[in-house]
Order: sequence, then structure tokens, then C-alpha cells
Amino acid sequence: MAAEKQLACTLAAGEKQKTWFAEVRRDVFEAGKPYAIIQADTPHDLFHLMGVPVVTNQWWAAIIATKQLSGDYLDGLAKLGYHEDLCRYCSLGLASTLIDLKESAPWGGLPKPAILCARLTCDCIQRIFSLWADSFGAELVAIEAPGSSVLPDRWWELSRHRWEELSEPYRLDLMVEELGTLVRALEKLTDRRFDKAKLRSFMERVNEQEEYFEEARQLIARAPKCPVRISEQITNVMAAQWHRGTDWALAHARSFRDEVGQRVADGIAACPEERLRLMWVGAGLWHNTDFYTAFEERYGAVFVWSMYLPFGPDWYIRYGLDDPLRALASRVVTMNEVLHNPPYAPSWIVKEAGLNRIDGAVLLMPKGSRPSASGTLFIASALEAAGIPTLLVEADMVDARGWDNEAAEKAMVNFIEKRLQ
Amino acid sequence: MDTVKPEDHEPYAHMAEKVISPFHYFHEVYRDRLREARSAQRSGKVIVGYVGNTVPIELIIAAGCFPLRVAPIAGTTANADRYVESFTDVDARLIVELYIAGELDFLSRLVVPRSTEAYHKLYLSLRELKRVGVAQAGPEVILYEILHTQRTASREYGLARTRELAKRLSVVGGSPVCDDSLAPAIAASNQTRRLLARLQQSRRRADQPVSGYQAHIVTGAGNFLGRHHYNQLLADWLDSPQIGTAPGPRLLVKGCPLDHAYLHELVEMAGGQVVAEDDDWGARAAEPLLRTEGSPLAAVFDHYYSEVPCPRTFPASLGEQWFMKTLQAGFIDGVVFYLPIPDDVLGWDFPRQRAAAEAAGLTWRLVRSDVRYPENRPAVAAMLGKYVGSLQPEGGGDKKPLATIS
Ligand code: SF4
Ligand code: SF4
Repeated sequence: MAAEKQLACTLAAGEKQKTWFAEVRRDVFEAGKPYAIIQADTPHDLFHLMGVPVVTNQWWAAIIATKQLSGDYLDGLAKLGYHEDLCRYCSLGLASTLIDLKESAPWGGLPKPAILCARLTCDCIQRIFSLWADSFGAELVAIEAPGSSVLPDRWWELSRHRWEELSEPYRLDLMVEELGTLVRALEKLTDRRFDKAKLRSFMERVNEQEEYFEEARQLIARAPKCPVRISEQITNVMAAQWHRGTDWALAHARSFRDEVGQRVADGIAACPEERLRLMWVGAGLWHNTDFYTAFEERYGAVFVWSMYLPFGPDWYIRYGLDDPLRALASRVVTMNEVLHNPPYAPSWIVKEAGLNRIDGAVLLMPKGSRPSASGTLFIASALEAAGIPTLLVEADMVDARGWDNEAAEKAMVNFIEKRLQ
Repeated sequence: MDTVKPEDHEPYAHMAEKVISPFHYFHEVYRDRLREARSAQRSGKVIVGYVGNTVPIELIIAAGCFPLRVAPIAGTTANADRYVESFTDVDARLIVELYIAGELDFLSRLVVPRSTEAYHKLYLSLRELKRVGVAQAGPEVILYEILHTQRTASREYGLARTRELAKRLSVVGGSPVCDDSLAPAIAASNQTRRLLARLQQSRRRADQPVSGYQAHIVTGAGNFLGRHHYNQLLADWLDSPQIGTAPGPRLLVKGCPLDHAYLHELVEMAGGQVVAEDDDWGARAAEPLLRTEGSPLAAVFDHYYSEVPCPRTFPASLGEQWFMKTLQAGFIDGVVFYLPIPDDVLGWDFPRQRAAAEAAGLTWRLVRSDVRYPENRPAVAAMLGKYVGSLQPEGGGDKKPLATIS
């Protein structure tokens, strides 16, 4: 049974997404307004600034998975000839366009976008987005994702003020050019002029939003017992991230911080019986978020940490905005590397484990998303070397078909009993 | 699938004994892939290893070094499995294993290109293994970055990275990579390509074509030999009386690059011939030639940036031109799509490419199991047997298997 929502904010965030999506659909169908489908790691900021609403592919995949529709869509892809080992996280959205589930389509389905945008990170994404753009007859803006060769392992010490030093200067230069390509496409689409000063104030607002999350994150980490379950942390943070920089997002981030603060002040714990603090490493288990709470009652084992909240302040904040496009480029250029690749990811997660007094880590190993999953063993060995027992859970974030709940629970029980107690 | 067992990888041995000696030599080099470079290193050559097919080896040659493609297909992955996920591409896992075991310590550098995401991860993994002290003596790993859109900024970026690589290699090899040293390196590469183009022609002869299996081995051996030595051997081999094989249905293989010869072998056992492969281990090693006018460095760069097969070329239609052209070329009877587990990339192209084959009036089959593992071969052999049978003209041709080799 799904755990009850404990925060008022969480209900508001869920509601916002629904009404917002209905509005986007209405605007597209009735007023012919443009909107975009984009990857999580693209510069949403530019779309917001230019007044183009965005549907994030990963958000949409999570919605499909939560509605237990991923199986239908992925079976449909297989029937079209796309084999079962292709990456699922980013292709569910494409499937929802290629396969017509009629009235079962989540929230009425995606209307035709005016533009799609993806960074060429893994080798599959250019294919998924090309197929998707072709099927809509819409433009695709592909942004290069040059690979890093300079790797400051304690990147969070540089990201806010010394972001120029995070990546090789030539990579940063290239990314500024790439963002320019996107800007020109958006100017053409909207007939608006891009304004650097406006980008600067937009990014200042994003900073402010992330500062609220920084406070919330510190409150959660320092509270004697975790005041907010990770599923609610994620819903609140990601709703604001998808709308980042907007009035709603700022207000929401502030009220989330306030509500967390109030719970801490009142001594409220998400699970009063908390005895073991766990971290969930990797993308969310979107098709089965109940898994996060399944070990609270018997073991007092609470998932207190996932990347979604702390990553915001540690990665998105950019101070020193004289050249806002360059600052934005520095955020985009190594975006998902810091979450997956050594030494960025292992060192950050070990640091977070210390800050959050973690007893054990559970690592998602999605075999159906290989490039996202690779690097997991380096994270595991860094955590173990830091004295934190780890458990690898092989599962896909959106595809429920291969999920064996019984086996996963057994592995968790074994892990808790043998290694954490 | 934790170990790619060495004993599973000797299927050519029984054939090699029976074949004429120049081929035998190519076969030995193909099989023992580090052998020639090791002996060159013992005689004082600086060896620069590289991974994949997008590293500009002309720069390595111009720097006075021996370019060695590091492309293991067999061996244990016991140590690598502690750091690299079991579903990673097999070659990357095997390279990590060699690196940890010190087997690559004889290389002065190892150049890893960003032509796939898996290779970028490989680069980072090797760096990390060094950083955390697991492989202290391993050669320094250099990332060679090539971008993928065909925009001006991407081209200029790649050109700049190529200039940097040239500088670094000049230091490693002790002789400067410049126009003067690049021109002969380009000439040698083009010479290889001309010779390989001749080989391709003889695979397509209507009567007694050269066996696809042999052509693959001879082409592949070039990755592990010094360029001039290889060109000489190849020219001699092509000039010697060629032993053709019985003509059978002619197949084009499309999909994951074949760094091993098991699929060729299975096709021949089924009575067919692989006459072309859309990968750099086969037919595409023969074309196109590198430009010889203008800046040599730019010519080398452009070749690897947009002319060699690379799964990240964008838009994909650019990388697909060769395949589309070959479907229409008139010397193909059918297509085998080879997308073994753990492919998670090229499968996205399959429905479109399958449709293109059908539009060209060709039938096709899809192979999803990795035929490097012996346990996977019987089912594929049975499927190929039926398929090749279906392609035989009425009355059937001579289906004697392995006509060249046995
Ligand atoms: S590897 Fe990552 S970015 Fe690529 S398609 Fe899969 S989930 Fe998406
Ligand atoms: S799984 Fe990783 S690569 Fe894929 S969208 Fe999430 S952060 Fe990006």
C-alpha cells in the first residue's frame, strides 16, 4: 500500500503538474502554441526564458511508469522491431507516440511539439530523438556532449563560484556555441529576441530556488530522524526543477523549505521508528516507489537520501553571472557525468553519505540503461572503502516487467540483517 | 558470461594448419594480436596503442611510432568485473582486464576515442583505476575526442583536438608530426586501402570468389602489423594465385562491428559467403581514400570525423550511405543483421534498415546471440543453414562447406 503523503507541499506539487500539463495541451490544441520535448540534462532555462513550455522526457517516462503503462508501451516497441535490450528510460516517451493506447494514454497523451532537444550523451539518444522528431515531423536540436578528460573529483567545491575551472576551457567554449545554436532555433520558433540580461536575472532566480533547497537539504541531513521520505523529497524538488526560475517554482521551493523546517522544529519524523538510515543511489524506481518504505515497519530502515534534492544546490547554483550563457554552459557541459562517472560521482556520493549519517547504500543498476548504469561499481567500491555497506539492485527505473519484488525484498532483508544490524 | 574463455577461441586452429602459408601468417597475427607489437617494442620501437576505428593512426605513424589496435576478443574478465559492469561491451571489459594485469604496460600511450559512449566510459575507468592505484604501471591514457554533428563548431573543435593529439604524439615518438611526416603516412594508408579495395573486388567475383572468412582475417590482421610491412604482405598475397571458394549466396552483414570471424565461418559452413560487412574490420576498411591535397592534418581529421563508420555520426543518414548504396549494388543476395547482446544502440536503426533491405528486394535475418560463445553457435548455424538454403537458385548450388579452407 502506498505510504500516505505527509507534506502539504507534496499534494500541491502533484496538483501543479496535472493542471500545468492540461494547460499545455489546451494551448497546443486550441491556440496552436508551441511547446518542446527535451531531455532532463538540456538547458531548460533557455526554453523558459523564451516562453516555450517544456515536457521533460524523463518526467514523462516516470508518469508512464507510475501509471503502470510501461509494459504496454515497451511490448509495442518490440512489435515494431525494436529489440528488448534497448534503453528504456528515454524511449518510453517515443513509445507513447508510436503506440496508440487510445484512452489509456496517460493524461491524454503528448501533443505534437514544435521542437525537441537532446544532448548527444549516450549513443542511443540521438536515435531515439531522431525517430521521435521524425514521427512528429518536428525539428530536433541536437547538442554536442563532449567528454571530459579533466576531472576534479571534489567538483562541488568549484561548482558555485569557480565553475570556470570545472571543465576544460575548450569544452566550455564549445558548449557556449552549442547553446547559441539552441538560442537561434528558439528565436526562430518564437519570433522573440534572446536577451542576456534577462537570462542573468533568470539564473539569479534559479540560484535563489536552489538556495531554498540547500536549506531544506541541510535541515533533512541534520535532523535526528529524517523528516521527509525520499519519495516526497523527489516529488517536491523535481516539480520545482521542471519549472525552475518561475514564480511558482520559487514559491514552491520556499514553502517546501518552510514545511521541512517546521517538521524539524516540531520533532516530526517521517518514520518515528527510524533505526537505520539508507541512501538510494541512482534514478528513482518509478514503477514501484513503495519499495522505499517497505522496510520501515520491520527494521526501522528509512531511505533518507536520494540524489534529487542535494544535486540541485550542489550542481545548479552558479554565482558570478557576468556572462550568464557561459555560466549556464558550465552547468550543461558535464551535467550527467557528475552523476555517473568516476571520480565525480563516487566522491560526491561518499561525501553525501557522511553528511547524512548513512548506514547503508542501495544502488540501482538498470541493465536496460547501460550507459547510465556504468560507473555504478566504482560508486559501490568507493562507498565500501568508506565503510558503508552497499547493495546492488538490478532493476530498470521504468520497466516493471523484469521486476521481481519478492527477490528484491529478500535481497534487502538479507542486506539489512547481515550487514546493517 | 563472466569469462570469455580462451579455450573457446581457437576455432581457426584446425583450419590454419591446412591453409597456405601467407594466409597462415595473417591468421597468426590476427589471433595473437599483441605479438607483432611486442616484438617491435623489444627491438626499440615506441608502441602507441589505440582503441576503435576513429583514432587517426596516421598521426601515430608520422610520430615514428607503431600503432597497435588494442582489440582483445577473448580472455578472463575476473579483475575487470570488480570495476566494470558485466553488461559493458565485451571488448571494453577485456581491455580493462589487460590494463589491470599489466599486459598493456609495453605501450607508451593508449589512445581512446570518443566514438562511442562505451569508449568514453572505458577511458574514465582506466584513468580511475590508475588514480585509485589498481593499475599503477598502466600506460597513460589519452582521450581523443571527435564530435558528431556536422556543424562548423564541431568540426573546428575536432580539428583542434587532432592538433593537440599530434603535439602529444610528437613528444612520445620523438619525431614531429608535421606536413612532411604526415604525407607519407597518408600515402601508406591509402596504399592499404587500394590493396584492400582489390581484395573486396575479388570477394565479389561471380566465379570462385575469395572466401569472406579469409578476407576478414587478412583485412583484420592489418590492425596489428606495422603499416609498411602489412602493405607488402598484402600486395604479395593478392599477387599470388588466389584460391577461390565455391560461389554461394552472397550476404551483406550489417550491425555490430565484427572483431572476430565466427559469423563468417558459420555463413560459410551454411554454404553462403559474406561478401561485405558494413564495418571497419571488413569491407569498409577499403574506402574511401584520404584526401591528398590541402592540409594533411585536416585531411586525416576529416577522414575520421565523417568518413569512417561510427555509431555516433549525426545525422545517422550520413553514416548509412554506404549501406544504402551497397543494398542497391547488385552483388548482394541477402542481409544478415548482427546485433548480439548487449547491443543497445544499433537496434534502434534495425527496423529502418530492415525496411530498406526489403525495399531493395532483399530478404534478411537477424542474429541476436553473440557467436563468439560456442554455446550460441548451433542455433545460429541452423538458422543460417535454412536461410542460405532459401537463397540458393532452384536446384541448389554446390553447398560444400569451407571450400577454400579445408
Ligand atoms: S543511456 Fe541514459 S540518456 Fe541514454 S537513452 Fe538511456 S537513460 Fe537515456
Ligand atoms: S539516468 Fe543519468 S543520463 Fe539518464 S537522464 Fe538521468 S541523469 Fe541523465
